[in-house]
Amino acid sequence: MILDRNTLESIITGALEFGWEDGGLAPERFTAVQRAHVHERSKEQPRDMASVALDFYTDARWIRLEVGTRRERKEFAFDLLEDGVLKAAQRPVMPDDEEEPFVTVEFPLSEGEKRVTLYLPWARAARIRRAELPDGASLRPYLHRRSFVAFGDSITHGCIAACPSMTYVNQLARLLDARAVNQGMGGEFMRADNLTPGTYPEVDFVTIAYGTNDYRHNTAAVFDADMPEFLRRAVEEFPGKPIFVILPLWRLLEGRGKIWDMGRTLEEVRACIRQEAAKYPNMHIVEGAKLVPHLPEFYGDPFLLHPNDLGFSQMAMNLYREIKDKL
Amino acid sequence: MKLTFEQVKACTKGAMEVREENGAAAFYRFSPAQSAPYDLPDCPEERFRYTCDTTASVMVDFWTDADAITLTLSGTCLDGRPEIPVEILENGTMVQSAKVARTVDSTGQVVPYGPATFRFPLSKGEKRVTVCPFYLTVNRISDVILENATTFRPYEHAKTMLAFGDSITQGHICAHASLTYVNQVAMLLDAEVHNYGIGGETFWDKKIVPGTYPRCDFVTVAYGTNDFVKCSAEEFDHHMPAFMKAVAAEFASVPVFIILPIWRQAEIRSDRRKQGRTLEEVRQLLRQESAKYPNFHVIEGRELVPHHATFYGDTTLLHPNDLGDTFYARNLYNELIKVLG
Repeated sequence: MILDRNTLESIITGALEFGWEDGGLAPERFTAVQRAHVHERSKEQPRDMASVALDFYTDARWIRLEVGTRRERKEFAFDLLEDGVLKAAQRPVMPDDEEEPFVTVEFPLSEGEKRVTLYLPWARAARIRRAELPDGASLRPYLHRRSFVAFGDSITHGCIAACPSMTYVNQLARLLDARAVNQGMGGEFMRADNLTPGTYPEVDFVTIAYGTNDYRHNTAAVFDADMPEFLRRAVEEFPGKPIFVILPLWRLLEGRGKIWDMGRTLEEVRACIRQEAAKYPNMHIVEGAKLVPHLPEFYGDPFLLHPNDLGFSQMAMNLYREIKDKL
Repeated sequence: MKLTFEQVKACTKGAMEVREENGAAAFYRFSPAQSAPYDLPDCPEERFRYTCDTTASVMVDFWTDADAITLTLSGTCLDGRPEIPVEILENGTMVQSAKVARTVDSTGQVVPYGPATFRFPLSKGEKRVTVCPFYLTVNRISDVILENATTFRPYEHAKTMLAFGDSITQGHICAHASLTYVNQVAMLLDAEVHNYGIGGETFWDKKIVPGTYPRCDFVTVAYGTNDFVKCSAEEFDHHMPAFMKAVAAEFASVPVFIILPIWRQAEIRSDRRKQGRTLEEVRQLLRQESAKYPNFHVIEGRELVPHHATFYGDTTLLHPNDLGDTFYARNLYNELIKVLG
């Protein structure tokens, strides 16, 4: 049973729009209008599949996807969950010898009706050329209890999760039974144009997690203009909704008290954000430095900047404890 | 501020007794009456008696505005591990850890380690500080100094839980003691936990010592995976119902959660071991026995940890690692709060 476009769109979460390219469905986590405002340095990233997943109930005994993507990174990852538990993962390697590479991934499924969640690779753009279930299999979309938009940088995007289901956004979404639209982009600052007014669906809450790149690469003048404007736009775009402003996580540079172009320590950057967010009654500060243990085992890079899967698990759980009673 | 023994004792959680031994606070998660069965000739394995004295889920937990904490760690170790860790949490998040290095390989013998003194800087202002020693060793803490502290008081949990089980409950194979599933679920529930997990243990009719347990809000029981491998059907069919009956009698007024064995690699091939049953058949017997008791709630253990090598710390895919235990705790929490509210 090949799923037609309408059926496929109905079971995909995390997308704001759908395109059709080269014979495949392209879920988009940014709308075309939003993509037009993305900074040049991040132009390709909105096409990545961060927090995009197929999420549905079925009694099928297998699912097969034919997925195409760009070839910049050879390996990419799919995670399959049944009833919220990760059961299988595949890391297909893209073939070298084709102009427009597509890979086929197939997962066996257990007996009876269950919720199936198939995460697409967080760091790759994807076109779904074909999605197939056995003939006669039942199929209906999973309906989440809530929805949210996650703004942020590479950590929100998913860097450096080995498994797409393990990014903090995806783990938090499952904990809260929420549908997530992930607008994280690697390297990004808290830039006003990262939030395009009038382009978002109704959601239950918002998370904002910038600041660590501002600390390292931005200037005080740009930050002092952009940061307040971003937060003001968030409050206007999502009136009355809880907005959780996640201050920058602990990172190795912090321990050394390094100061860069902005001329501020990371804690001073946090203080600026804290001060600005305090102006808005529906904004809640989350002390990012307390979300991930300050130990190398919880980070996936030698700079101790990006949490790994274990660090993301701690981050999601600690964030969940902060958020759940405020929803 | 140097803490007295009485102050350390007052903020120790998860211990049935805290004794002053050679100037250090010694923690006992089993009371003498509770460990007495392990001195009997019919104790299933001799090493269980030593394991009773290890400090699984024992923590020193308090509020303070100190700038730093210094403490001295010592104890004994039964296996050959080269380092004994200790972790410091602030407001429930691990922020630092240190390790006592050992040069003696003591595999199979109980050998002392330490003393070693560590200083941990703390963040500004008042915060909850938790000292978490390792779950596989017998640990003593002494000379606890809180620098520039003007405040100090024990942390008070909202609930108390008792956790019975095997190595997975004790904490194997977590690299970080604060990340065992028991400790993580306790943190989520704001519960002090008395951890009675013993590595290698199976259902045993003498395990429960009536009238010796602290008042608690709920109990978890997580055996079965070792029974599947080590016990004959006759042994299991005697000890499992007897244990359940003893638990039902001792904890009649609180919810008891029977956590069925989690997924393990041996299941892939539908292995049958000494018991002659598959692991799923063992689960089914546990479900049937649990159904006899109205305050027992079955948790489908197979759905708690992802069925993937990434989440297990051993090549046999038996013991979850830190990541696996994080999922175990989180999924278990979701099941527990359906009953606990």
